[in-house]
Amino acid sequence: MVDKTLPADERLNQMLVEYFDARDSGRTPSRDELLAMHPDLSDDSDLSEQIDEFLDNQQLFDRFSEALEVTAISAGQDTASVQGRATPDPSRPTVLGGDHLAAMFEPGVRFGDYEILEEIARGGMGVV
Amino acid sequence: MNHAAENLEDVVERYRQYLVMLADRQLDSRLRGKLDASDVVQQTLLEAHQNQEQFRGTHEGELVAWLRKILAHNLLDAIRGLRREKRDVAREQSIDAVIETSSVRLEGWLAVEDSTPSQKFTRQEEAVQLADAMARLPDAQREALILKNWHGWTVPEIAQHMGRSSTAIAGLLKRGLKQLRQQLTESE
Repeated sequence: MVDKTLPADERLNQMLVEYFDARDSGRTPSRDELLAMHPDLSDDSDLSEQIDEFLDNQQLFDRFSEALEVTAISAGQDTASVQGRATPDPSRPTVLGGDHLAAMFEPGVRFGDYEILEEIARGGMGVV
Repeated sequence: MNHAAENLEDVVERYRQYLVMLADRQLDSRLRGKLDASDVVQQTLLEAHQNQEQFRGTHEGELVAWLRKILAHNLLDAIRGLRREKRDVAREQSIDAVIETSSVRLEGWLAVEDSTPSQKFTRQEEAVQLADAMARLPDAQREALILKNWHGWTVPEIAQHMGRSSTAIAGLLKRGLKQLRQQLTESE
């Protein structure tokens, strides 16, 4: 609940916390839905203007952020990251074994100044 | 290249913040305290400088693709270093899975890097603008924005991590976005 007696800035921040909560549970509220969550504040034109501004800014950020994504990351990896973060379970089996990493260091792969010629040895400390 | 008269070093320097943000974006948030993206990028730019004769491209997009590739390799190397270090620290076992996830992400990145031509360059300028603007934000605003938008943390999680209230985090996000908008629309 947003406390009406709070300063305007603080009321907006509280509404944004609710906005992010809703978005994190997979349902991004539209501007109108966000305002409808607080009918008691709907006559506050300053507040709705600030919400519009915030949503605009977030949208612009998302557009630029997407540019960062497409220059480096393929689709689907983001969810992998979020899931990885959401389940920090130490007992989780390491399903993605060393083979993936090993594939990166196949003979012939260049690595900075070096080119990998052959695997010398493999042991407890890793693959040399 | 378009910048025939320009020193490669100067051209490369323009992409520093972009590479830092990419590294930040790639690293699992639990590794962020253990690996400094700026250090890995510094090393990457140094290597690019030292090995510039290896760069065969003719387009700036190819140059940046080359930089991204060196960065991805360096990140993988740094992550492998963590794996060796953490053997001494039994309580950090959980980091193992995180390292695996990050490694696989980086492999995916390198695979994409190999398969897609430099057409990505069209949107690269936007990414560079964003990264430069992010770098100019106050640290707390940048941290909140990165954790929220790029690592999918919830506001209460960020609040706990940063030792602030949820409404304070919402304020950081709001002000950060506002400042970014001002910078990004100025440069448009």
